[in-house]
Amino acid sequence: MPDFRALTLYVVRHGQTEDNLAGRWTGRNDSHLTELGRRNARRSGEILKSLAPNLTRFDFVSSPLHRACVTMELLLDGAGLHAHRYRTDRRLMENDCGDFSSLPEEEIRTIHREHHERLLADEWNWVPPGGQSQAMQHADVGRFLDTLRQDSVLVCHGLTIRLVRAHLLGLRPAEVIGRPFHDAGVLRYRAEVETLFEV
Amino acid sequence: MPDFRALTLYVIRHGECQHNVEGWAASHDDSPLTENGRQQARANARILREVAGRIDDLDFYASSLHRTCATMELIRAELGLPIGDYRADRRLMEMDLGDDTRRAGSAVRMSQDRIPDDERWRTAHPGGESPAMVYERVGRLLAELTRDSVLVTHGVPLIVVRAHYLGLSGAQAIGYHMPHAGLLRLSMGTDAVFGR
Repeated sequence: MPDFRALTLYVVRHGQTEDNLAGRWTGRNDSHLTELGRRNARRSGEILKSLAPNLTRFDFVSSPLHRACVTMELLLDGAGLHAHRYRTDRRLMENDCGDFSSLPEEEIRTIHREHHERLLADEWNWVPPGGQSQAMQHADVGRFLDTLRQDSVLVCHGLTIRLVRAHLLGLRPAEVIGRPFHDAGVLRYRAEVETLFEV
Repeated sequence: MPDFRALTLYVIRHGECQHNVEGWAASHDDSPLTENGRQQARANARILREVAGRIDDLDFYASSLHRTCATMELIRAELGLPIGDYRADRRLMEMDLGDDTRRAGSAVRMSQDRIPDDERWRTAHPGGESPAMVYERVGRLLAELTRDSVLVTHGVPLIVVRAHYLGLSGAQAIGYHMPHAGLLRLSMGTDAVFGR
């Protein structure tokens, strides 16, 4: 059984959404891709094709949330592959931010200030009301990565990518939180080295 | 804010998917709509227009999983409405089957069929949810509705929306089955199915 750290993994965040543009949290609700988001998803597929000429031998796995699957289908199309040659796995879903789903970040900072202060004090263990902490999702993401048997392309979300990084690079929580999300482009993990290919 | 029982709700399942044909339980995973499923979605849009009359004043909600959003977008396209003008809400997602996800549907049903209905309502799948837990989360969304609405969702959430609306117990509600093709209307305290 190959350890997932011995595999080459390409990781892509879903394309920009209307929530991203408006500064809203989305969590496990969904928000539509913007035109830029759709364009970048397709472009990520073109980049993948140039990076990995043997793409047809890859396993393609997406979060089952709509924005991730739409991104995956555009990416596959951009790479010249059939848009449905992928599977989904629930453990790649975005972190569940409970009652804060679809709320503007500004409102969370101001109206829900006490929660936000607790988030700033310990983001890794902070549990949003009705949601889950990043610490709670960390083990789930690890169990998913353990199922990978071949080089893979993963499409997931801002917080999920942090947890994927933590596993692939052996990082501690303090080393992955607080890092801004990369908006567009392809992250490559090979031999525990991370490389970003921008769109 | 009006109680949702004073509203009219139109509840639709996502169209048939690859996993329905292959017979495995997708739950919080996903699989693509089949061509049959895409046709079911368009047919359900035509039934909706016929049954609801005015569609301009309706709110549209879908579960945020891919198959339900894809179904919603086919419905809206068929109705000639702007495709993206709907809300995708996590509380309409299918019941989380946890470790039973991707198991054969027949095996999941067989293990469930041995449990009496009222107990099954409260029995959570290992690492997942019970119908009673889905009832609770769907209820929080229903409490937020302010207008007549179209809900595009999955098998178990459809059962619990109907239970909320008609005031049914878990044991009364759990055996209900609605096919992918067809529309459940909840209005004036009663239910009716169209297009079966």
